Amino acid sequence: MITRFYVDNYKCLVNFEYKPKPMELIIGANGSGKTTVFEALECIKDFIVNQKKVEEVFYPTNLTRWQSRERVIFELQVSDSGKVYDYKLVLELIGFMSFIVSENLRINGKESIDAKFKSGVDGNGGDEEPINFNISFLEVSMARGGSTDVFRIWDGDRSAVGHSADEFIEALKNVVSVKLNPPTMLSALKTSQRHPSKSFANFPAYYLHLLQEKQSVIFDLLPVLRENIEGFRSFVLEERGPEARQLRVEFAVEGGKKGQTVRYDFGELSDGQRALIALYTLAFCESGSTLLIDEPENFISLRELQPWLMLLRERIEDFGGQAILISHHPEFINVLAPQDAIQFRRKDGGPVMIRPFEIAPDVDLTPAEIVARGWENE
Amino acid sequence: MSRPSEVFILGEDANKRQQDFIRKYLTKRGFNHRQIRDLPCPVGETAGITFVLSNYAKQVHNLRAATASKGLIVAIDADEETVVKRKEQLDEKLKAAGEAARGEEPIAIVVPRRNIETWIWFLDGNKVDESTDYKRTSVRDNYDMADAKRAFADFVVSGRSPFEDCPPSLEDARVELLRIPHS
Repeated sequence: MITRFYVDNYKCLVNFEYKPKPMELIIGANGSGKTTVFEALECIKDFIVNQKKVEEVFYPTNLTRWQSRERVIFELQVSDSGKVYDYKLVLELIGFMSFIVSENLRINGKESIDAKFKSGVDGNGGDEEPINFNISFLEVSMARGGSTDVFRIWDGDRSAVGHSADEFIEALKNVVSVKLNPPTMLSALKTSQRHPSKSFANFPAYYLHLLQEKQSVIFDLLPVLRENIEGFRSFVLEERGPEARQLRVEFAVEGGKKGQTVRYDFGELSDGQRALIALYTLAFCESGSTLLIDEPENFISLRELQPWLMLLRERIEDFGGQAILISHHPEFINVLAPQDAIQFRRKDGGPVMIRPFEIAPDVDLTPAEIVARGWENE
Repeated sequence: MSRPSEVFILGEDANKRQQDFIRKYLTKRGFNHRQIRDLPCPVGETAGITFVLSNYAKQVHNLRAATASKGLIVAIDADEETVVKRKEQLDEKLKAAGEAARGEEPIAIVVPRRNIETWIWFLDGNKVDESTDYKRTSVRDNYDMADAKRAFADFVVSGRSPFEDCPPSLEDARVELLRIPHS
């Protein structure tokens, strides 16, 4: 669960601090920075978990445009399996270059990894010395169990934490950011994949993972899909050659014999059906994870929104985890605001500010109507 | 065709505590989330009570008109009134709208007294009276209701209060909720 996220000098996030609750709806006007927060979290995850080079993830164009500073700071606090991880990354994005100034991780305030950028012939390049990128490295100090190891990572443009902190990496893997794109969710798969991709285009591969590793969750999920998706009966994986498989979906035949079904390729289902299947699967199979879902209402009919949202909330209450949703939809706003909603605002294109959803005491309107009128926080 | 909602919750609580309690009970009774619909209520200090009182007759009418409907649950805090007084206010609204009085229909009127926070504080194992406003003293905005909700659902189903000196309004709510047929 993400308990704190601080960003400075990244896009529209300047000295920005966010402390999300287990279930929270982010509302705000277009361009108010909601999606940027998810993007920043994804970049951190990509940098650490996927060990991407700093210049592959963070670009000088990410600097806040109206600031003249080149230093970007990210701080992330995550609690997972009884441990609290405090992570800090300081970058400099100069000209066409992106490099790590320092990277730090503390676990329960004790064990730590500290990495600092060093450059120069003797590796003692201080602030006054010009940076020599031909001879640069990360000097890593790792304190664990009362002793401290110091070593150098010559591949100094990748995360030292991602190199050394397995438990934190696992905690970050449980941060799942999704913006569903059903047209990309097709049927074919070759291998299983443990985590949903951003668009959830890998749904068939993720389903195979569930089938192999979490069968009991599938048994729990199927009745929920039958309750909520008209005619849905089951998933079927069909072999298509030595390696390839196809995810298919069985639907009941209206007016047919008892138990009669027809099969469709998963990719043949409507965008809405695929999105709905994906949302229920996330709510059920990612229990305990932090779900960041950008506009889950897309493609989904009005009738389906409240039942899914309530099930998601029940799962978080019963099994833990976290869901941070971005939505403009009245159904979500009316259920989650004011108590579980926050508002992102930007004044005159300036930095993102977070405000609680507050309204004047004598207003007599639903939260969605208040948002529609632009009266929140007036 | 999408399966319709069957039980409707007309609550006055902008923070959805009343609605969450009722939903927890309904799911324990076998309803799924698809069968339950929370009606959106306004925010504002007195807006919720006005909303419930002014929408009650319309929702009763809808319940009587729609074949898919299995029940209506109304939730309204007593505040400084009594449970009986709140039910009388609702009865008057039906009469004024020309609707028949509430009979044996699946219409439950849940009136926490003084408010839902009284029940939450009690269901978490504390002694309560029905005149103190625990919302201002003990059950603040981010209070974790998970255990209280479970205790509430267990109590309504079993009839066994988890602690002594169950608030009378909670006993009354149990009888009311049993008017809603099983899923």
